[in-house]
Amino acid sequence: MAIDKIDLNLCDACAICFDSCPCDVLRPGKDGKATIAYPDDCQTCYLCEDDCPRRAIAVGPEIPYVPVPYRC
Amino acid sequence: MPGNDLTIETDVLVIGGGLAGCWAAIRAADFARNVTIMEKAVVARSGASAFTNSMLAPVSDEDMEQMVAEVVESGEWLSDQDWVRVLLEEQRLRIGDLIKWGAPFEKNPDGTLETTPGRGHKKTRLVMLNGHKLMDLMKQRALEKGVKILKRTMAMDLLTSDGKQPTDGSVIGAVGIDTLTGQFVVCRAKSTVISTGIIDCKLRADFVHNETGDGPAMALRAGAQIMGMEFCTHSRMNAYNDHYRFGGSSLLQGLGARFINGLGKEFIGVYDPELKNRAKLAWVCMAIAKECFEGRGPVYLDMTPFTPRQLALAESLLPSQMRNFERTGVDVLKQPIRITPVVSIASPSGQAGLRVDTSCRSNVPGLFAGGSASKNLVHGTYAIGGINLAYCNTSGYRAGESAGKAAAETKQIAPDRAQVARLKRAAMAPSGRKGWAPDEVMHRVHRDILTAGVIMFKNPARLKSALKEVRELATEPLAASDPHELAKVHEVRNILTMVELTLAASLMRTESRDSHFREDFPYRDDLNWLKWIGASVTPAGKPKLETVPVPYERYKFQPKERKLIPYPIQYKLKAGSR
Repeated sequence: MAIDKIDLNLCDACAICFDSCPCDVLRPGKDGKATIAYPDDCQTCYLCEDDCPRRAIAVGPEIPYVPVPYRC
Repeated sequence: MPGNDLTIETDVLVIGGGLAGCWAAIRAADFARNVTIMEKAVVARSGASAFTNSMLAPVSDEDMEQMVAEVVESGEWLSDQDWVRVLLEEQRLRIGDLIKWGAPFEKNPDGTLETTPGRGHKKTRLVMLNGHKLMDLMKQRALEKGVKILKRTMAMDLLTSDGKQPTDGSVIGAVGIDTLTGQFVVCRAKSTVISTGIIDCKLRADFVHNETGDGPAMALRAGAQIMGMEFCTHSRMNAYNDHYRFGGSSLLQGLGARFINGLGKEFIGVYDPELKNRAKLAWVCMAIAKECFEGRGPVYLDMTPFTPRQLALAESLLPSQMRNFERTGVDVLKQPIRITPVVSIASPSGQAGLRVDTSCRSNVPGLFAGGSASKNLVHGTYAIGGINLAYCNTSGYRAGESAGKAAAETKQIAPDRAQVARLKRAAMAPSGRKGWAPDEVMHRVHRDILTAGVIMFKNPARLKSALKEVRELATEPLAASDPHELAKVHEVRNILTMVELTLAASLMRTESRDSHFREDFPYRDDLNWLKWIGASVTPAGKPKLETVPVPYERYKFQPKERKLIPYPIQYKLKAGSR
């Protein structure tokens, strides 16, 4: 799972989410709205989704990549 | 070197703004005018603290001796009994502070604190609260006390009074980079507290992707001793195939979750007949691996017996984890969840970190540490759930007090210009050069080096081979294309240092205890190994390991008999496999 999408119609560039992410995944794009700048660093913690006052951010079930071959 | 560095002067510098760091800053502000937290991410949204859920419940005077005994015995006799007493006595005071500040503990209908047993608990208990709300409160409290916060600033190395690494003098601040702009930051301080959290390795597990042993690594380079590295192989649980992960398994175990193998049977009791499904995490993970390797996998975590109250507590206290189940269409009341151990270096309960005394002083003047960046000597190896946060409360508070008092009696020392220039060159060198991307290095480490035969079921040949590989890898140049990646390069550099020491200390400890299992010494050796291992660096920068005696002569509780005790989960990998 990982951060999946940002609804730019809902995002009003309040910048709160930039201070939510422990891993610096989100950065301001055009007009200051949030973009997913470093998707591989998402740790699926939901802090951005929870902190967004306009519910513009969604974490989804897609797996961006699997870094480790699990052995059990 | 180009100019435009950000230069800061503070009385007390706290590196890392999680629970221990906030406690340290709040307490230091009682003694020092200027207190600054340097935080790699953002205070209240960084590290493990924001995802915690429970801490050790207050212990009454009548129960004190029994609880000390329980912790020491559960910690396999490697606890510092002075620290155990300090923690049990002061946890009551810190919980009192948190209640006074309005911390949202779960309560019974009559208003008393609700308690639950957790992982490893016999008589002891946990109290519960949501970690996001706890950290919001701690940040607010720190700001009210006038603490300054430097966010998105990664500390790189410590400044020393003699300009040397390792130092013969004292620590006088730190340098770092702004991870958004790449600006170099020089912060001079009278006292410096390391509270960077646990040592982990960028596996996106347990919400600690950005806890990479930065504090212990920079302290080591500056001359501090770190301890417990052989136990930094503490596996955790993950839902299968990285679909989702869940820290907080201690709470789930306490609430009554069961482990079921592929034959549909509960099996942890085979390895730990006393605690069964509430066994320690290291042994649960090794038991899962053994079941799978011997053909009785896969293994499931079963929450189907949960009562409505238990489910409500899980959802309230583990919001991120429980949402992962919901989003992937898993109803935990209807179906068990397939799980796997995460095989990596990790000290999720402060198994490894700076060696500190009960005043949270390191062996280097001016340098203090608290929380999981310091070796948690209350746990010994790993005693019981809830000690982690209790230790953040107590050690953070004590580190802040010691650092604040020391700052009041110390003069600011100007940093050595040559040292600042050297550290800046080292910090900035990966920018724009050719070399490995940090993610590539970590893939190599996880895929090829830190295998189950190196981390879980250790033998000397595999440890030596892994040590050689990681030392070779550490000489490769890493490259960064922007400041975000520059921070990751330095995280990886610190992880490689931690991996090297973990493997070296694992070779040195010729016995098996907690998460450290040696195929060739498959027993706990209380005759020879009731001692710690400390790691430091020589003036030439080479690692140096030595045993550190546990001062049993002054402890009340002594093991009844010192003997060899067979390790409960034994497994030999096939020859040639890793």
